[in-house]
Amino acid sequence: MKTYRFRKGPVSFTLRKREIELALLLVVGLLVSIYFGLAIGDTFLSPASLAALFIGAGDAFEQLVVFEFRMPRVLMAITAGASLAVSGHLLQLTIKNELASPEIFGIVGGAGVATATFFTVFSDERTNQLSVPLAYIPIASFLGAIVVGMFLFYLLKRGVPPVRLALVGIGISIFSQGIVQFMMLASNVYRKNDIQQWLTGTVYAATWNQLKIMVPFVLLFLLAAFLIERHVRPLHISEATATSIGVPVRGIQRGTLLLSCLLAGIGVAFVGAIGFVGLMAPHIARQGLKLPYIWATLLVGATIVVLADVLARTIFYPYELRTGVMTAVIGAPYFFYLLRRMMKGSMR
Amino acid sequence: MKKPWIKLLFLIICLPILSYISLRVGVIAVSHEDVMTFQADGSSQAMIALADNRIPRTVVALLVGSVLGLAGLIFQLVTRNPLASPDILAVNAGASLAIVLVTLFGFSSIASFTTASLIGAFVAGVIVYLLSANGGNVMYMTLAGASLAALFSSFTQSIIAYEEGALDEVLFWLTGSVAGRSLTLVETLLPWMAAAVILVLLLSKELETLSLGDQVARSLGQNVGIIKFVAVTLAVVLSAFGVALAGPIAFVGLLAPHLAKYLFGTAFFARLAGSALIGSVLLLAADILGRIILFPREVTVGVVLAVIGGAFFIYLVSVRQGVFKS
Repeated sequence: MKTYRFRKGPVSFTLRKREIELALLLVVGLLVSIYFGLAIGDTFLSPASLAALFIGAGDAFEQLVVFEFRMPRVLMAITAGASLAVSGHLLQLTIKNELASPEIFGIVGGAGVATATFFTVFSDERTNQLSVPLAYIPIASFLGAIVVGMFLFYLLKRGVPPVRLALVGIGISIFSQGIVQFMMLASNVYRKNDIQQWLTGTVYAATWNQLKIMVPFVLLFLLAAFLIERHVRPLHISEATATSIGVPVRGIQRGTLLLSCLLAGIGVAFVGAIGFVGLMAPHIARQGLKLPYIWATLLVGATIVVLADVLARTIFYPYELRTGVMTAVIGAPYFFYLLRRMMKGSMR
Repeated sequence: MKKPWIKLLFLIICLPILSYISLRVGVIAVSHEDVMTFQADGSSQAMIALADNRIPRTVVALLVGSVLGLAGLIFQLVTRNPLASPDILAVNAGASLAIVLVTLFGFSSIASFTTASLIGAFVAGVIVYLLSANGGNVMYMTLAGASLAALFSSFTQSIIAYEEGALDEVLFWLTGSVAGRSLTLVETLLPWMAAAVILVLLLSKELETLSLGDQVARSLGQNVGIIKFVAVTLAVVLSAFGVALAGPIAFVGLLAPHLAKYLFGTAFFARLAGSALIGSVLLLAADILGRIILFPREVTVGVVLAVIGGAFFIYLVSVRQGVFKS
């Protein structure tokens, strides 16, 4: 395998040719899907006219459509996709199980309960309007995810092995499904619809303001994920190996758990429970492309959600599907492929 | 209480008591006399409430609880997974998705509901069977089942999101409820359900052998493959009937076999019959509870069980570590 080595003072790294090529491929893939995300819609833009818009030319209407409507949406898809994917990546490494995902761990369920409760409690009975600004919803969702995260963290600290946390997570998701359903039955038809919207997840209503709040957090969490990555990977081999090369196993497990909860929480806070990205993306990066790295997962996750949004907008044009519907449609065949591999017993 | 028969008898006695409570509790007051002097064509408010609501829902709760309890026990036996049950293994979710799909295409008869439920449950059941037939890892099976359930239900949610008006009824049904089911529906399904339950009870000996493990069962001369196949088929059919009647109800299938095991230990037939009885008791009790907690509002039984059962499940896998070795 062809490699490039770089060594100067304390800095050294190795680059493999295959990995550089794949990285370029992933970046190009993401850029192409971003192009589709910006260009497709009621007014279709050729690459040339899109480029013209970026240097300030082009007509005002197209400027408005691209920069006020499509751009935030695409960026939101990238941010949400990346954070969910990395969250799933960290969880899968921590419990050494490729079926782990923020959904399985109940993190998304916790966010759902908080959101549904918020919608139901703060709904004005007379006017059928929300009695508090809609902008508070992400805070509720995020807190819901964090509460579940704290509970899992507590169990981990009490000595419950990480693998078992996934089972606890399944319990939490079913538990939260019950509460969400109760909230939906208890609330009026408008709120029911709002909750349903959140549960499927869509980047439809993304705005620049949301991005301004979301992006710094995501960048911060991602940075932490990159820093923790080299400690997590030996953990994937075995706890004994990790201990023997000096990784503080317990601390790293707790750190990754916390980090993946934060990432999943912020990932669903603004767009709702877009599913299966956290399951698929790390897997495609690791098994499909043989790139078991966070950056690869991140690119794959972002691309999946951007593409899902593009498909959701075009398939039944002029009707729009929700992004979460498309990720489920993409996720289904992939999931069955995973199951088939399980049956062959190649995944024990 | 050493003898299993006494415990079984106790459970059997629980049923009429709970049924009586179930007949009386609710928004419309039904007195003791009303229950005793019930006439199907009575015109008083209490009589109508009994005929249209209380009696059907009590019967449905009894039936659905017992089939789910049995199905759960079989799933746990065959897959050797103490967390297996129709809900965890996506059988309920598969049946729900199929029912929502046929409703979307405009079918709403009992027959189409039941057929769809059967097909959906079978698809999920086949996947589960394949996963377990290969001696699959318990952890993977559980995670795969849960992910599959998540996949099915995200499709179900998507469909509902687009057809809310038409599917409002289905949304209610999806939360799992024993209310609002007519007795005609029960009458249609009863013979089939009874047949499946009797078959399971007849297979008691074979299932007991199977519970000793594949190798022991084989060395005792059992054709493990066929018995497993028949057992899973029966369990899938039972859960499909349960879903068709009451919607996807969580945790009865998980909880009942565990309680039965706790009560009856190794007395296998008692464990089998006990699972069914405990299932009925649980579902009926949860339904009564749902009518009381937020009186005069009703909480559907599916919600009550998801909350109670969710808490129990979390307890089972986090505190009682011995129950499940991964």
